[in-house]
Amino acid sequence: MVKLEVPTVQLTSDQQSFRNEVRTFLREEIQSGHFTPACDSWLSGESSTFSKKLGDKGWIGMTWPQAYGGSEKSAIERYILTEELLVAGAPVAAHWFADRQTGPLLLKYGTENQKKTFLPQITKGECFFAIGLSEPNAGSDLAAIKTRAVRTDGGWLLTGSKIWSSGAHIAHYMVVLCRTSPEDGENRHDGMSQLIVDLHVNGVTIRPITFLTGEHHFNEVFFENVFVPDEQVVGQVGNGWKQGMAELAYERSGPERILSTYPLFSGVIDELKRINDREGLTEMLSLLPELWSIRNLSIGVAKYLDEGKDVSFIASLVKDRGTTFETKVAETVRLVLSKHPDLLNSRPIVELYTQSILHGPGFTLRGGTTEILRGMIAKGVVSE
Amino acid sequence: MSEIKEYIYDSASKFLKKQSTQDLLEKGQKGLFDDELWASLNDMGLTGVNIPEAYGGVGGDYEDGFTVIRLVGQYPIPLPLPETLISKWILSQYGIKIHHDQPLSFYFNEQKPLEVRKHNGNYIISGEALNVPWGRVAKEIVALAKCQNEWMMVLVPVNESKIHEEVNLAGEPRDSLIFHDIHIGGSAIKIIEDCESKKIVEQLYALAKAAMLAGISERVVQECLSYASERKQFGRNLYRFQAVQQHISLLVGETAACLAAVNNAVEMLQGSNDSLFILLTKIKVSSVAGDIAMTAHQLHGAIGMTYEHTLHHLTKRLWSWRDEAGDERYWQGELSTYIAHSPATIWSLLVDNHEVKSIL
Repeated sequence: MVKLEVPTVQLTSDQQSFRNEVRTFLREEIQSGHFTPACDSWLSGESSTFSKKLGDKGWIGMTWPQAYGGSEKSAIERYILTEELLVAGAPVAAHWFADRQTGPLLLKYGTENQKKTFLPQITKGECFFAIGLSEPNAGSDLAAIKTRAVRTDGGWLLTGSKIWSSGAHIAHYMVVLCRTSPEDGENRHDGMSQLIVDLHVNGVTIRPITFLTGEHHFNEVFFENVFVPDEQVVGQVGNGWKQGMAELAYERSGPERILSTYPLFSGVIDELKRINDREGLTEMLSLLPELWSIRNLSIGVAKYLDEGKDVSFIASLVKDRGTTFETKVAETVRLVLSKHPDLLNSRPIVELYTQSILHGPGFTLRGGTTEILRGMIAKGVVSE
Repeated sequence: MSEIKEYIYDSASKFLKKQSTQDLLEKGQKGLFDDELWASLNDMGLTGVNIPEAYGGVGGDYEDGFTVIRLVGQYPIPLPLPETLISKWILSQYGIKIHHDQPLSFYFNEQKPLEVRKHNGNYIISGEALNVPWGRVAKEIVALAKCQNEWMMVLVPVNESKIHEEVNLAGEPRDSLIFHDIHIGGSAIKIIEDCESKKIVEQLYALAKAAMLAGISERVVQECLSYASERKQFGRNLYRFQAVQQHISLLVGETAACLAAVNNAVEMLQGSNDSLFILLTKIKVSSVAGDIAMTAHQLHGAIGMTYEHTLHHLTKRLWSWRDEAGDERYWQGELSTYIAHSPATIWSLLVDNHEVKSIL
């Protein structure tokens, strides 16, 4: 019998106090004009000042060991923080990937030296990482990557390119998945490694790819014989695929797969309550059960991950269902609000609506397309 | 999981799995009541879960009770176990002890309550109890009644009523019981003091239906996975096809979401009378039941449309249960009212630990 259940999570009073603390901080930040709530702020809200503030509070890498700058809090505390940040539409993009992915990767596979070098800087909100997975000819078929590193004295020479690297233009480093042995047709996942690449060294070129809104979030990053010292190889040479995949469960089941359009959702509900539009309110609220059930699934996965359980197919399923909800929000608002999306209209609710429509295509593509996820879910449940 | 929950889960799931045969479901479709199986449920203590021992139960809590109810969804049996449990939960809360092992059911309709008259110190009940699940096999029903301006909970014997037999798609009785001047004793009547208590049965029934729907969805997923991994077309197992994988992920994803909703709502029920999570859960589960049924049929192809195949026993229940205890349109109206009158933000309502919040 395939198990589709995850544990329920009830907050303790300490956890609720922590939630209130985060909420108060965010309210003050908004009220003093330090940021304007935005949809999809974990992709588009880049603010090194804000990241630094979170770092000062101990809210980056908060689950990590104190020896590396963390506060050794549980995954549930981190979950609370993350969802409050997204609900407030806070500009968290700068440190997002380092906090979510690079830190856990280094904690699991990194050398002592790597942990001591990078983790404390990340927790201070002073060191940002970009993800280096997709390539121009390797999208959903990630094993088709061509970027390669060849052995040289004391390290590796890296050549190739990475694409769709969100925030690479403000990041300090990128974890690059590359081939360190030629592709073997039989075992395509063998011979890959993960390298930490300083994005400011010779041979690295970062070129913006303009998003359809006209904004700059994505980049293509080129490597031309970039020297990467041995100390910056993550884990074992040749084990890159497995290491990279292990992180995907974290990437796919988090609140950012559910809450990218939450500021719009709650903004519209508040507006409908204010003008006493019961019909519109009922229509918007038809999405609330969806949100509640997926969020419970997601926080349950967080608890499982904390306990070290393998939940890769449930994580894929959270992303599939969650991102479907995110796009439904904009579609429902469309008819309830009777407003046109408009890039030049600065009324907050229209701004949030326009962001949700235009960022929508990304929700079901980034971090594994829906098609890939569904294949993983189906194979995952059948094999159980 | 509590010890009793684990025990219940293991023993009840083994037992129900064994009992819920094609043969039994066909008897159910024809409206036959299996006395022997009912006696076994009593012997196993399944009709006494979440009922104090002083009231003839086996103890436990709501989590235990809804675990059993969900299992009755997963392995359907044509017997009123959930209805009997809900009735007994209410009766024990009102201090009424039942001295028999027969099925019970309920009728709580605020719009059309039964009427109570007082006559020479006696109570006389009249009125029509509509759409009573398993009404014809229940010995008594727990009903909401009104005596002038006073709300009451009454325990009425069914054998004195006139029964209009009706059934849902799966053949499960949904009868109307007409009571005409039935005399009952004072011990079978309790005054309902607070307004919220009038809704408690409706809400427990809605959550029970949601739990049963989640349980039967789990079962549907199981049937679909077996079929998709055994059946071959074009030389490949069905689940290898991308188009079929889309169906499987919908089934699995929605079932997991429904289970998460039910489990959280049940947990919230413990020690709180906030109905929000029940509303959310019944809406969620009812609104996807149709997709789950149709997707399961699509995946099974023509064989799933035959009377011989088990699938229709499951999908008929999905199609019936989603409407019972309030369809999603009804509960969406209630949700809208709830949110419109709540001063708290949506987010706070969803995620805050309300016990803690009230202290703050």
